[in-house]
Amino acid sequence: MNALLLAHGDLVPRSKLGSAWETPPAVLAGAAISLLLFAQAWIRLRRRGRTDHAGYDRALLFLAGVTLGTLALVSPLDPIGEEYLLSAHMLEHVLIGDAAVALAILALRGPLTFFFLPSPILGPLARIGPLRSFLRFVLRPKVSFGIWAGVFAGWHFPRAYDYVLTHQAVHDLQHVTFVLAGVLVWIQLIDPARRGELRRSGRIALAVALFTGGQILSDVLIFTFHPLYPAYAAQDERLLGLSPLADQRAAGIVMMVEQMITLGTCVAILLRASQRDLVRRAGRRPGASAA
Amino acid sequence: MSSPSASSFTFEPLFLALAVAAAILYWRGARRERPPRWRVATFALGLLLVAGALNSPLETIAAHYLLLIHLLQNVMISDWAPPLLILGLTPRMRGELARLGGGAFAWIARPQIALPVWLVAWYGIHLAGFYDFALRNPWMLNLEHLVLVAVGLLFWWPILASQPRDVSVPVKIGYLGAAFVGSVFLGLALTFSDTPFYDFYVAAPRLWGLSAAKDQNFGGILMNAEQSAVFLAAILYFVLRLIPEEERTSSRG
Repeated sequence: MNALLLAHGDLVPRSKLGSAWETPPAVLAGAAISLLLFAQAWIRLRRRGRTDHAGYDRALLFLAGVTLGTLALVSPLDPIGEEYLLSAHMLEHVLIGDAAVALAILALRGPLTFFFLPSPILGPLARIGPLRSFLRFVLRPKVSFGIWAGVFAGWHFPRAYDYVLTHQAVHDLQHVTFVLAGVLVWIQLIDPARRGELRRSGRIALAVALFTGGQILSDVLIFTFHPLYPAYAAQDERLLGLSPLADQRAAGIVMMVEQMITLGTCVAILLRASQRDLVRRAGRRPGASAA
Repeated sequence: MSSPSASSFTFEPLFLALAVAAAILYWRGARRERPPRWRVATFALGLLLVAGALNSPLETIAAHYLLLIHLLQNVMISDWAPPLLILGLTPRMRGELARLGGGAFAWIARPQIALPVWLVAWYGIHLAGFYDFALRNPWMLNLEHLVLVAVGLLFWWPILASQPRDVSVPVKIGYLGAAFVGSVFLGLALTFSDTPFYDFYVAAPRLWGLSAAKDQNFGGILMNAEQSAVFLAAILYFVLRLIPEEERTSSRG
């Protein structure tokens, strides 16, 4: 019996993976609450006539983020990732901790952020001094980045990863920390509340730092010549014909490509804005031309 | 014919001659305007990388034994030497070269042209058919290396030189990012493949106990690691330059 079977009770047989949809109550409740909170914020803002900050595009973005994150956890991707392929598990992690979070925070940027929690909830929370101090601390850019780096590096140590695969509660904790770490760094990158903690160049630097951090992990997975995670290496059923090593390398590529898409898009948008600013300012100076 | 000893020297005299010619031209330019020592040293290091990579035991191993070393040569002459050579030139020297290149150089040195040219050359040269042919024909190997040096210079020119046009820092960062993303797949293909791409190296005598497939995998790892380091370092440098630039413009704002 391999270690993965012990981890999550019954192993989903290969033949039933296609229909292995799950309904984890915590995930579904979290998705429903997020959607309800967004809906009330969106409606309240629209009622105030601010459709410019609460357009249908924002609703679509938020829905896409929540759907992506939820699907990653309830679809067959989850058992495939938990029981068969490291690459599928990596895909699940980058979807819930990066892509889904980025879409949701992008949808919330501007006034929607302040409307996301209804006043009866936001008011009392805002009056809790220690909570405010804590949030102020973790939302410092360097602290957010440090937490993100610690979470991603820590969970990917083979011992930690194998432990996660054999303890469901720890596995859930891992997913929660990925999402929270993702929220912290994407708040810095998108700055939905317009806190101005980082200038645009600082946000670009953070995106580069995040990509570099992810690249280190990707490189380790891609360039190692032996499987790093015994639990996946012990799985005899090889989905898609991927050997443990090929699966591990695919996991590295999944992370690299996903980051290229999300962080690359973020950097491209920020650079475009910087370039526009330079051109505009150059145009203001008499006789100047934007290079 | 037996292969030469891996520690023996092999020469590509063309690149020795070109390095000497470049050094003489630089010396003549430096007599008119005294460049700071760091520029002279940087230029000399660039020349040394090109001449040394192609006229040393590295060339022997690359041309007779291992793809890994051939790829090391390629990154030395195409990724390391060109930025050093350009940085070694004074702005006036770069301006004179750009003027000498005229309209054609101004056109091809635009980021939107230089990047695709570099990518096409980078991938094209590493195609199995071309690579094997070059390894079996010394004149073609010279041409391959000449193209790598030339496209390396072309690629780095818009980033490091402000003539014929000064490219803004955000565009430079985007250019480097696009180059990184665009070029990463060759290294990955070499790293992942269990089948050697190049017949020449399959037939070559084995060195250091490396099979042809492992040699290729290590070559891919080298290429990826090197490009990650060079491109991410360059991106980081320009991001750090963007910060004060943004502060300056916003304080003027």
